[in-house]
Order: sequence, then C-alpha cells, then structure tokens
Amino acid sequence: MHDETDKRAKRDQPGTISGRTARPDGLDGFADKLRKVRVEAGLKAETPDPHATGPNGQADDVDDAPRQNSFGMAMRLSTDLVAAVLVGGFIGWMLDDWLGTKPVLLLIFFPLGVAAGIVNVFRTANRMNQQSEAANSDAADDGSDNRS
Amino acid sequence: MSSPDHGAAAAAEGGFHIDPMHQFEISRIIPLEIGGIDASFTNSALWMVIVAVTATLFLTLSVGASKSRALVPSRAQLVSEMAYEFIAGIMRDIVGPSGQKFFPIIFTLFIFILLCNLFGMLPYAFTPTSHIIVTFALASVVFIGVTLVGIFKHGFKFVKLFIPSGVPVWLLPLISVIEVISYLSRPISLSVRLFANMLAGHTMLKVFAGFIVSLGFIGGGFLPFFFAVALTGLEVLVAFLQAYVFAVLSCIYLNDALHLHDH
Repeated sequence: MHDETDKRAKRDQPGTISGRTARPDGLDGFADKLRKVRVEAGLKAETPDPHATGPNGQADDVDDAPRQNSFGMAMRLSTDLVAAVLVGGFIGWMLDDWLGTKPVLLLIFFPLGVAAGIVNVFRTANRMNQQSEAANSDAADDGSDNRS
Repeated sequence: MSSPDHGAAAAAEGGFHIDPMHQFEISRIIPLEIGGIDASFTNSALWMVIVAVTATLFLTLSVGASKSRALVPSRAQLVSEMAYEFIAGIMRDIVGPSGQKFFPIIFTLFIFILLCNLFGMLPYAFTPTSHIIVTFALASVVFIGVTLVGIFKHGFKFVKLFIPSGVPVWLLPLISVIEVISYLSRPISLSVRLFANMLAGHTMLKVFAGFIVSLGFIGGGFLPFFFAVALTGLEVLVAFLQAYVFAVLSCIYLNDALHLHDH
C-alpha cells in the first residue's frame, strides 16, 4: 500500500510542476549536479525552461509546426483513419475465422473500426489544434500548457 | 539508389525501361539460414548496421572524452547536443519529468530513423525504412514497450485507458471496443506512415529522374530535372519530419501510458 501512494505521488507530480523542482525516478542527483555545474560555469543557475528548450528545442518546434500543417498533417490524419479501419476489419475477420460465424463479426467490427478511425482523426486534429495554439501563445508563457 | 545517374545507366542499357521499384529490392549479401528461417545478411541489414555504427561513433566521438568536452562546443559536438536537446525538449513538453528515464529509447529511435532516412538519400544507398517490416518492427517496439510500461506502472488500472471518463454506462461496451481498436491501430498507423512516406518519396524521385532520361535533357528534360532537384530537398525535409513525427507520437503514447487520466 505504501508502494501505491508512492506511485500516486509520482504520477501527480508531473501535472503540477514543469521540470524545475525535485525530479522523480532517481534523477534528483542529476538535476542538482547540473545546477551546480551551471553555477560554476557562470551561467544562470535557475533557468530551466527558457535555457533548456529556448535556443534549439522550442525554436525548432515552433518552426516545424507550420510546415507540418500541410503535408504531414494530411498524412497523419489519413493513416490514422485507415489504420483503425484495417485493424477493425482484421479483428472481425479473424474472429469470424475462429468462431465460424462467417460474415457477422466482420460486419460488426468493420463499422467499429471506422468509428475508431474517426475517433483517432478527431484526437489527432484536436492535438494539432492545441499544438498550434500553444505555438501561437508561446511567447506569453513557456511550455506548461502545450502538453496535450 | 535514388540517384538520377542510376536511372540514366539503366535506361542506356535497356532502352527506356526504368523500374522505379528496383531500388527497394532486397539482395542477400551473406546467405544464412538458421533453422529453416532465412536470416541472410541483406543490403537492408547492411545499411542498418552502417546507420547504427555511424550514429554510435558520431555521438560518442563528437562529444569526446570529458576533458575535451568544451563549454564552447565544436561543430560536431554542437550537432550532438542539439539532437539531444531537441528530443529532451520534446519529451519535457509531452511527457513531463516522469518520462525522463525513457529518454534513451526515444532518442535512439529518433536517431536511427533519421539516419536511415537521410542515408537513404545518398546515391546508391538503400533505405531500410522504406520497408514496412522494418518500420513495423520499430513501431512494435514502441507499442509493446509502452503497453508494458503502462501495465507495470498501473497494473489492472491500465484498463482505464480504454474507458473514457463521463461516458454513460450503456454506451461503455461500444466505446471501450472502439477505444481498444483505436489503441491497436497505433502501431499500424505509426509504421505505415513512415514506410509510405519513404516509399512514395523515393519512387517519385526515381520516376522524375526517369523522365529526364526519356525526354532528353535539352528536349524538355530540364523541367523534370529541376523538379527532381526540388524533390530532393523535399525528401530531406520529409526524412527529418518523419523521424520527428515518430518520436513525437512515441512520446504521446508514452504519456498516455504513464498518465492515464489524459484522454
């Protein structure tokens, strides 16, 4: 039971912090060391978000978002849709084969696959919207809200 | 073998016969059979080994021994550090601090796919990621790994991933089946996306390269030539983008497994 609460504490942590307080999973030592090295090197010690993601990570992210809008987005959405339909149909087919109920389960699972595909597309599109909104309001605040 | 030269050579030998799919052919370099299974060392395997060795050497040598690791980095060190910080940034944004211990696998996947894609752009090279079995294996690693992480972390509560909150009870059987199908479709869409992009891009490049030869450079062939040049640039972008998308989606799946409430 102690283990259980420990797990929950770990799980709750990432929601509330954005990477600067004690890191779980045995990385506290590393964060401390990094901070110390930064201080010794004469860098600003306590600049986790802007320093770490600012120059490369974040900038690249923002840079990629618009490019992905055209071709990558279409590709992502279409594969998401098709994959779920294929999986749904395949499950129905295999179950039919196995249970000997030839067309019935395929007919049931195919529409379910289509539904799952639409759910996939919906989620991906939502995520993309969030990302582009986060990229737009990126200058205002950093990182904490664009975690989907 | 996505180079125009190769298309030219093939056309010179056999009239205008240009086979855009020839570049994806698997050839055995060292035939090997273990227990009735064909485990030959193929050109695909060779290029994967090249990629793995190059990535390992580059990432270790560029950063170097701790003495030579400069605060003002050299170019090679800068590239390594940028790749590292790029993935670290993605992981921090999507998964949060609790995902840091999965950084190595995501970073490895990203670098491996990126280099497979980019090396495939070299003339006479082979692109391992243009075969669905390779990308499916990579996607399966992500899928199975993420599922195991979720099960180990949450135990039976992992099932909650398939039960969205706020759904009426009578809809639950239907919704959870849809969620399961949606979950199972992840490795498919992950692998098909990468494979289809690589396959389509390289085939298109080859087809346009073939047009140059069959039209003759002066008699209109310069048009597809310029197109092929532009397409090469696009392919380099796609090579990067697909590796990026693979890494991002792996992170999203990891995040789902680690923090079930997110849906």
